[in-house]
Parts: sequence; structure tokens; C-alpha cells
Amino acid sequence: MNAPKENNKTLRRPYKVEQKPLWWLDNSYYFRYMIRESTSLIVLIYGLVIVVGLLRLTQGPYMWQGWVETVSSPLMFPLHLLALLAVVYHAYTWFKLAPRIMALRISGKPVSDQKVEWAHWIVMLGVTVACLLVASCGGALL
Amino acid sequence: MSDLNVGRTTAKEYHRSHEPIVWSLFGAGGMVVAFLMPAVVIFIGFFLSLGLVDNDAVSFERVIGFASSWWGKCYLAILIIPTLYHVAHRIFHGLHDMHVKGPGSLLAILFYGGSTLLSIFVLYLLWGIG
Amino acid sequence: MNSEHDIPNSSTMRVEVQRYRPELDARPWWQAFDVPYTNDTSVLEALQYIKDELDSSLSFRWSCRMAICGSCGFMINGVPKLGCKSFLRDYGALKIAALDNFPIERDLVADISGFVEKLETVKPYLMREDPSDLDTSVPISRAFNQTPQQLSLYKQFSQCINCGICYAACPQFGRDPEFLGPAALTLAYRYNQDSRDQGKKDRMPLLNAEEGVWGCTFVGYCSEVCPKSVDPAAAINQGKAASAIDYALNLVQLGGDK
Ligand code: SF4
Ligand code: FES
Repeated sequence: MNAPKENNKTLRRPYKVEQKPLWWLDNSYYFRYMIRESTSLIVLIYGLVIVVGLLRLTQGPYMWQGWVETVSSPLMFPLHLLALLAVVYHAYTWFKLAPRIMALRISGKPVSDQKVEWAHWIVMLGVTVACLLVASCGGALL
Repeated sequence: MSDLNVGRTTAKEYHRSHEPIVWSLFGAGGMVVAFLMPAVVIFIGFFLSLGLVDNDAVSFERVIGFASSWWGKCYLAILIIPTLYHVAHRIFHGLHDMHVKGPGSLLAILFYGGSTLLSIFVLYLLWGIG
Repeated sequence: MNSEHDIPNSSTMRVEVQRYRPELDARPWWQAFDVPYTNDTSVLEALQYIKDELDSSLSFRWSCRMAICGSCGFMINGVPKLGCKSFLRDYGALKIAALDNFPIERDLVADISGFVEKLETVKPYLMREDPSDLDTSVPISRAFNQTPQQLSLYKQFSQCINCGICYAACPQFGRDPEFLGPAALTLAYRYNQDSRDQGKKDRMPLLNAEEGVWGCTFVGYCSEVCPKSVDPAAAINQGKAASAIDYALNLVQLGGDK
């Protein structure tokens, strides 16, 4: 107490390690997190394709037909495949996380995360089949 | 005990974050991408590309008819707008995770502002149909 | 009890330990030891063997030897774990280092004082508002009963032993040490969820901050490594929902914190 100057002469020298920008390559858990986040890059591209489709639709039948031909050309197929993988992986991770945020209870009792996860998958499959049916026979998805 | 250097000398102040706005939009978009996008990708990328459906299914008349109806407009707005915020949010945070940061809030303005402008554009297009 | 996993008595394992002696070393370095072990030798016991028999200058923290005091967190082959709850039989070779994301005080001792401070910051105790409960001149004479349902709202989140392992697993804490982090945010949420507590309005400003729940991107590794299955990532993300509601209420001036 009476010798504060001496107190300042600490022998402590804590060693600090700065995080590397590539920390997410350090283990597979982090890596899968980055894959999950990166699905958004492909979804972004796909979203822009859809926005362009909407724009073409407003520009009349000729432009619309051009867009339809472009997106269904073989050159675009890898993008569709990648997009399908991305949205399904997104859904897989999303359905795993959503129950833990919702912490669903039915009449006071917690519902297990697995049940909520499965419920998500069932709804997703139902919605997908319904959309595809409507779009293929009569309605339009886009 | 000053050499132990534990405890702050001044209390840290905490400020309310505005993240709830973008987080809610991100969450809505995550739902849309998980529940609606698979059907869209399968339809355009597979049914249409591989000729599994008749081209009539995407004829101009039919699609413009759909996009003119109020439910069609709702569907398209819900499909596109939250998705744009979802991807903006993820890319913004992904860049932060990789230690990429612009000067000030440049990146935030770029991504959230960009998705807002695109959303307005989409609403404008939908407004003009039918 | 003879299973194929039984270890013959004579086995030794190569154990590499990270050393850092602030008065001597510029940076941490690896020191290798050969440690004899049996089927029930824990990583903590291996370290104790090294200190007792091979190099008494090695520093590490421990106390209970039974996964309840939370002192013995190390990076074991790159994964944050309790030394007393990990066993040599599960490894071929070992590399033991101090917990990631904390300053290294010496050898395997991480400086977790910042973490302990964060635990304090979130006011992890029951707070009451009723004037009758605040009168300290009279002993508390009533019970604050709780139904099993009310208990179940926070029970899992109250199992934390403050080991800091989730902080070693959290890249957002690694990036920004100001982030309140998994255990502290879980603790705040745990008290907010407690039917006996009335201190939510004092904790919400912390949750609401960028350094609060909004610093989290749901990497989820904290929950993966937590030795007590607390699932801090779930608590934080439920906290995000609570904070978003608080934000909206505040926006329409119905309540919430300013
Ligand atoms: S939440 Fe789990 S990992 Fe984190 S400090 Fe508590 S017990 Fe340890
Ligand atoms: S020594 Fe107490 S938790 Fe390991």
C-alpha cells in the first residue's frame, strides 16, 4: 500500500494471441459455419436472377421469353444445381437452429428440438410439393 | 493490489444496438429461403431446364396473370424482399468474420442500403404490373 | 472389466504441453513428456504426473478433479475441454495448451479475469422490486415458490460452472474481447427467465447492446464444447428474440429500456 511504485513493477506479461482472419479454417465446426454463411452468396445470385426475371416480365412477352430461355439454357444448369445444394444446406442448418431459438412449449411442456426440426422438414416438403404442383399445372411460380 | 490490474476503473457503457431491425428481416428471409426457395430452384432449374414441364407453364400470359393478382404480388414480394435482407446480413457478417471492414459503416450502408434499394425496385415493378 | 479398450499397464503417451514463462519466454513453446497412463488416467492427472515427476515448474489450474469447479479448462488437441473430464485412453497423442481467446498468464494458465468480470456485469442474482422484499431490517419471512414448469424455463441455463470453455470456442469473443460472451449472456438470460426475479429491466440494456446478444452470429461451437450441456448458444439466441421484442416495445414507447 505504501509503495505503489513498486507495485507497478509487475512481472506479469500476459501473452495475447490475435485472431487470424482465417480462424474458420482451424476446425471443421468453424468451417461448416462458414459454409452455412456462404450459402447466402449463391442465394444472392439466384435472387438477382429472379429480380431480373421480374423486370423482364414487366418489359413484355419478348423480353420475358428471352429470360425464360436464358435461365433454362444448359449453361445455367450448374448455377441451378449449386443453388439447390445451397438452399437445401441452408434449410438443413436453419431447421437445426430454429427449434433452439423458439424453445417451443405446448401447454407448458417443452417440445423436443428434434420434433420441431422434423416439423420444419415436413412443412418444407409440403410447401415445395404444393408450389411445384401449382406451378406445373396452371398457376405460376414466377 | 493495483498490480493485479483486474476490474475496470470506469464502468463500461452499453448502448442499444439497432441490430433487431436487420436481424428480424434476416430471420424472415431465412424462413423464405428454407421454405420457398427450394421449390423455385427445382422449378426453374430442373422442371423448366430439363423440359419436364410444358413451356405453357411459363407463358407470358400465365405469369403476368399470376403477377397481376394480389396473391401473386404478395407471393413475389415475400419471396424476394426478405431474401435480399437475408443475404445482405449474412454477407455483411461473414466479411466481418473474415476481418474485412470498410471505413466506418460503409459496408453496412452498402449491403443493407443495397437490399433496401432493390426491395423498393421490386415493389415498384410489382406495382406497375396489371 | 476387460474390454478391448483396456490399456495395458505399461503404456506411455507422448504429451506435448505448451509452456510460457513470462519472465523467460518471448512466446509460448512446446515441451514434450512421456507420461505413463492406465485406462482411467485423466488429462489433469497426466499434468499432475508431469509436475510431480518430470518438471515441477509447470503451471496449471485445477481444484475439484470432478468437473464441477471449472478450473481445469485447456485446449486439448485443439478442442477446449476440462482436463479432469478428458482421458488419455481417448487419444493417441496429446497437445495441451491454455484456453484460446484469453491472454496466457503462464503455461496452461489463461487469464480469465475479464470473463469473471463479465459474469459480474450481468447481475447474476435474484433482484426484487417489491418494497416489502427490499426492507433489509427484517429477515425474509416468505418463500418464493416455483412450479416445476417455472423451474424448467431456466434450469438448463443454470448448470454453468464458469469454466470459460465456451469463450475459448467463441470466435466472436476471440475477435472482440468486449463481447459479453456465451456464459455471461446465458447467465443474464437465466435470471431474466426466473419467475422469482424482478431485475430484468437492469439486465436488458446489457443484452440489447452490440456487446450483448447482438455480438453473436450463432456459430454454435460454444454449445458443442460445453461440459455441462448448458447450450449457451440457445440462451443467447432466445435472448435475441427477447431483445428484439424489447426493441419494438421501446420503439412504440410501450416499455422496454430507453
Ligand atoms: S456455459 Fe458451459 S462452457 Fe460456458 S462457462 Fe458455463 S459450463 Fe463452461
Ligand atoms: S478440476 Fe474442477 S473442473 Fe476439472
